[in-house]
Amino acid sequence: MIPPADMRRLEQLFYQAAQLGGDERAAFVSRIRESEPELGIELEALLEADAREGTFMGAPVVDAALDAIADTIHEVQPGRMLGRYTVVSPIGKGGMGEVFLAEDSQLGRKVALKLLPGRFTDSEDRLRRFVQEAKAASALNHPNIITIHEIGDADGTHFIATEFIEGRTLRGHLARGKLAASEALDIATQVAGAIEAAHKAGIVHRDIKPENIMIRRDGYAKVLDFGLAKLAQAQPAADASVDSHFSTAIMNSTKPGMVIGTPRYMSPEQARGLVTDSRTDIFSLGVVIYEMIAGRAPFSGDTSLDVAAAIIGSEPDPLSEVAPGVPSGLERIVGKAMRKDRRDRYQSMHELLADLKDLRDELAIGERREKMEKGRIPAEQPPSRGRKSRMRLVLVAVGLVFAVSAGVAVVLPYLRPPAPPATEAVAAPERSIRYSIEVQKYRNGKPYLEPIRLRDDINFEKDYRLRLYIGSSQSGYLYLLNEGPELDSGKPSYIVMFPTTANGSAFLDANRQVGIPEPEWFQFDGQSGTEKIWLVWADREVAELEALKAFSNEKDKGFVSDAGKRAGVDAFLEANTPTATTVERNETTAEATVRARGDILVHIIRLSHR
Amino acid sequence: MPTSGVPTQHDVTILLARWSGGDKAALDELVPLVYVELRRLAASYLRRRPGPRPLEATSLVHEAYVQLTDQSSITFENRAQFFGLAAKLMRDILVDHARRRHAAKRGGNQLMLSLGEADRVGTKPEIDLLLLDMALKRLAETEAGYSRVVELRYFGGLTIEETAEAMHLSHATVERYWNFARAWLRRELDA
Repeated sequence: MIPPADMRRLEQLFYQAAQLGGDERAAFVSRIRESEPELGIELEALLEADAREGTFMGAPVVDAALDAIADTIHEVQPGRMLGRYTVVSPIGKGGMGEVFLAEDSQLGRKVALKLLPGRFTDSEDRLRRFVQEAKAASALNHPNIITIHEIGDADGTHFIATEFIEGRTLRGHLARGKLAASEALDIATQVAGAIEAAHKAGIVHRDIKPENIMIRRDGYAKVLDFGLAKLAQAQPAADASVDSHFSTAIMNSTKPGMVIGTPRYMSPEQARGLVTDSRTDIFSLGVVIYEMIAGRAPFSGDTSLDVAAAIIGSEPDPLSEVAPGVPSGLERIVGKAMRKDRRDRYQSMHELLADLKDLRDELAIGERREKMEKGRIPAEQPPSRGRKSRMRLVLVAVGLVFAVSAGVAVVLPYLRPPAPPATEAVAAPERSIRYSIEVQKYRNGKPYLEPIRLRDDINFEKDYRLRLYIGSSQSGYLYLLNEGPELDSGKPSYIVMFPTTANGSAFLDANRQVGIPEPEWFQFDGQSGTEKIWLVWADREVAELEALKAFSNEKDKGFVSDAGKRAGVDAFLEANTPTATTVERNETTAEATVRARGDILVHIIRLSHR
Repeated sequence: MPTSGVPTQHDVTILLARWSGGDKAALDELVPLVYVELRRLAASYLRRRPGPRPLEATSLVHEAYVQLTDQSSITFENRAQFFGLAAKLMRDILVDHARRRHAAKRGGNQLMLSLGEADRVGTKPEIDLLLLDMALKRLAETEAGYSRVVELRYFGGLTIEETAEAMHLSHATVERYWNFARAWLRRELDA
């Protein structure tokens, strides 16, 4: 390669020669050949090339660009089929390829389809290793790792079909500004959990950054692109350039002397091109946590190389300075994750995760205590943790074995709009019931997040469990029925959800909230459909419904098998459904309040899932 | 994930300003917007004029610039940034495409040309974009300015004048760089 100084000199000579006419130019060149032989030869070759016939780069490459773009558009325009997927619309483009929303024509579900750039898939060997690793990560079935449905190719285009996540990347999430410590911790804990599971399976991510973390609308994080960093990294030698080891760098030299890429999340060993191990992910996650709290990445620079140099050699501004008020425990965790020497870092994601969880619990307890001290929580609405002991008054026993097979399958809780009133019971007193639904996410039999109250649409998975909380401002009797399998007669069967035992009382004190089932959960049966739940509140015992209590035992599991009793329920519901109700939803508490005039209030909760 | 809605001119102008203010994250948001617009324009261009096309000086980049930015509030500096970014994206698009074609050929997948495409083949430049890209990288290692002029002129379709604006160089210097880089590349590519 010609040294830069010589190149500039060559340019000068070329310019001078170009000013001269034929003979003078020849003389000029031969003088240079004597005084600076190497440059002279170069100069002569350049002049010769320049004088060749025909044009070279005579017009911009617009036309070829149109062709190129036409080709790619041709490949992936909406409606185009790739394997069994129909492309719906583009979602985005990153250094690792374009992503499309597509529909799986066989299963009728939405997927995200990522097309791998050709340069990643040149080597079959490398591709095979990538497929292995990406599938292995997906197979961990971890709730915070994106599920890969298929890695395949169609017409020479390699693609990855994954679950489609409604939400945005952490990058997009951060565009609104830095996060509160509690939210950052929550996201960090989820991501750490995902990476820990991968590490245990021997898979290192190597490209943890906000672009590779999706935040779903219900706040849950999914880590994308396991295995992809390695695939992108090992590019063919033909592509070697200053930037080639910055696997995610997408561009450079957009301004003189300015190189832009995203090496910002690399570990020092990665930036130095050394061999990496799982501790590289620990560093990168540290950088991501820092950025969530500080609102900017810890290492910066005008060029990729400057950033790399900062990662290798300089200490970031202390988190407590950039984000005053950050919990000291969090600063300590981030500091330990971002140690330059990997031997000084957390040695495993497990350790980092444990510290994150401890801190999260600590902060949560502190917050609750603070609220209690300030008396913000009204007595009639105790926080969920304090509720259990009160509930014993209502729930005599809590076996709830039947719940497992009751098969409550849930997603989008939506409240049926109130039907127009058939008769105006003006004189009757107004009754109201409040209810909310709490969901516990489970995977492989273990809860992995705090239970959440349903506010908005949620994508249910079959492992999820739910619990209803119901209360009324007046004392009365509460019955909950779930629609069971359809009978031969075409009528629905019923499954008793509350009271939960044969001896259980349906009586509910005014302003008491009952958790159904508490402390158990309803479990989903994994089948899709819409669950219909009748919520009946009455100011006195309802004989037809009391009679159903007999089925709340271990043998019947709540399933009402007696035809006569079922007919009684049919008649009762027919006579009282729908009562003229109004429904209000409180977005903050995620509670719905149903109001009606009369002594009996019937409300239907429909919970559907895909 | 980014929403699929069409970005407003305001968005892009603001992002450019944020980027020039040192906010690197703004660039990450800009890239897909500009990329999608370039593709959208190309597609609509092709729909309007099927078949053989004359080589036109009007570049996609220019059109994208007009479409994407708020002309009343964009600064001179941001205009230059936009062209730099778009030209780089055009280069990426072209080189990636050439690479794919190359890979497809090696795999023995002969591309079937439709009539319309066959017509267009004749107007294609004879330059091997993969080789050009590699040569440009080598050139950039000695003096980034030379390769950048080529990027803006050849891939971005900018005139000498506009290139000078975008690079904060004089007209004469850009012309010098351009002539030199072109000769050097031609020798490298033996074209």
